[in-house]
Amino acid sequence: MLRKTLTAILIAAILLPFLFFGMLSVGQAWFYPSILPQRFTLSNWQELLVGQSELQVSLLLSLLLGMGVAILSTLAGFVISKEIARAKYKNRWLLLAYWPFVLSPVVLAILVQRFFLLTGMSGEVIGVLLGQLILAFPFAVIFFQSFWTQEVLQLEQQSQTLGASAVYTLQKVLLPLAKPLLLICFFQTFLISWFEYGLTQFIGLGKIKTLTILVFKYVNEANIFHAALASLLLMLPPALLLWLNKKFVFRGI
Amino acid sequence: MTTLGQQLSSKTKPGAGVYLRAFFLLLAVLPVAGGLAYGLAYSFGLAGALSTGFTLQHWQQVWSSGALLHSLAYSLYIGLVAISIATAAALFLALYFQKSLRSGSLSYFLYLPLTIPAMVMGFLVFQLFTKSGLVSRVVYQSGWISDLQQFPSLVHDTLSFGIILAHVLMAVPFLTLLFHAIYREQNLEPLQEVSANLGAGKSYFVRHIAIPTLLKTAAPNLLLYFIFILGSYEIPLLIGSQQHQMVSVLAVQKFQRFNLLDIPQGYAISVAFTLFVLLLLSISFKKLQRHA
Repeated sequence: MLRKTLTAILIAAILLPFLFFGMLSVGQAWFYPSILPQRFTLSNWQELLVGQSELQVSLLLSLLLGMGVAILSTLAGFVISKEIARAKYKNRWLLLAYWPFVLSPVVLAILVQRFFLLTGMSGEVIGVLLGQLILAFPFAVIFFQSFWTQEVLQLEQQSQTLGASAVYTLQKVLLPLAKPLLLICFFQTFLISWFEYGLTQFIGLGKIKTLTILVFKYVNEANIFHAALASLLLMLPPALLLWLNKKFVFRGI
Repeated sequence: MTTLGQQLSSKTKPGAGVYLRAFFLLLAVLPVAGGLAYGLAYSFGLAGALSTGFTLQHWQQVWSSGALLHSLAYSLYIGLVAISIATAAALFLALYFQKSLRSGSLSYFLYLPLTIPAMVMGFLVFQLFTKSGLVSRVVYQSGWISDLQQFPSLVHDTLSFGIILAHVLMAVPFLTLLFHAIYREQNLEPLQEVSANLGAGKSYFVRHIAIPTLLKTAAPNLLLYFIFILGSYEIPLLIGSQQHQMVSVLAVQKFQRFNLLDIPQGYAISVAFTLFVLLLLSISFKKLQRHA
């Protein structure tokens, strides 16, 4: 009985942020000491459907950046991780891949900001994309190390010994084997970009307004209803994906 | 497709390998190494608009003001308290809700908090625990307080309750799932049966076998999470106090002031923090390896 009660409390606590932000996102005035907002409206949500609204642009920009970072880092990580896996000093190379994760993203952003200013990429989408790749690409390289095992490398060699071309081996042997990992890596690198704030803020100079930047902006403006909606937009897509396939996250720990 | 296929063939040509490694160095290593070198040069007066040649002045200013040491101590306090509370809570959840985590409702629900980024968690804690937040309203409606000023300051407070809580809320689901995964991988369930057959009670098993095994196996992850908290920025920025600043917030503040002479100090703080983290990591991993 106690266990069931505690489980129910825990589940309620887990759902609280979603319900609370859901309530605020349809609220219009929330004066103390009322627990619920005085007025409810769908106007905040309707802004999402109106062309060129700040929220809509931000959502699309976050999606675009997330997809771009995920595609580039997954592909590059898959190709280069093989080279690292076969390197003589594999562990030394891998140690280098861990570097960006030792630093706080915002400290990393401070340190690399000058290079983006010099190349004119500060305040540009391409600059933010490259900045986020500094985190996502080494992650993908580390992630795919578990794929390039001796068995996989031998299987690939066997395929080519039997006369298969490199392209055929990639299409019929490597990609089918790597497909689940490619999907997981895509999902996780997408999340790195989707949740990123420090690098986006500093390299984007506040001009590249992704959803995390927008949440901070709304909180600063004390616009809690828009901040709640932007927060929900950040949380719902990954929550939905996780719900559909929870195994995507915790494989490989 | 052909190029990609050729690059992925087992006998990657030595030339192609060099290009691939160069690409790796360019994107993963150069930004960090170059950034650190530039930061170091800037902090010693060797780079930047106001550079006047080699000087220790900026490092001396950072050191003598005590701001760096104070914010490092404050960050360590936040990190240690948050990771300790989160580890204790996660151990309890992982051990108490084993069945539910394996196949019950928690096996789905506990993944949901992982979708909350730090910025949103900071905003959530602010909206829940500020003097006019949801908890204060519920307490008021229950009749426990008659004015919102009677509600304690839990956000922007000197003890940093809000920052610690936000980090604990972010860490607990992750650590619980981690401990649960380790519990299964280390085959602790059969071990519990063996210890029960040998006459050990459940609490003896938990205290002397389960908890030490979980903590020892998870030690590298706990260390990395602790370092993640040390360098956190969004949460202290949103709900931190005016009196104390975590290192990342202090460094950024130096960059955002109008005084250009503060920028070298910002770089000095960033470089010092990076070196501190690297030192902490190398010492800790050596100790962990010795105990492994």
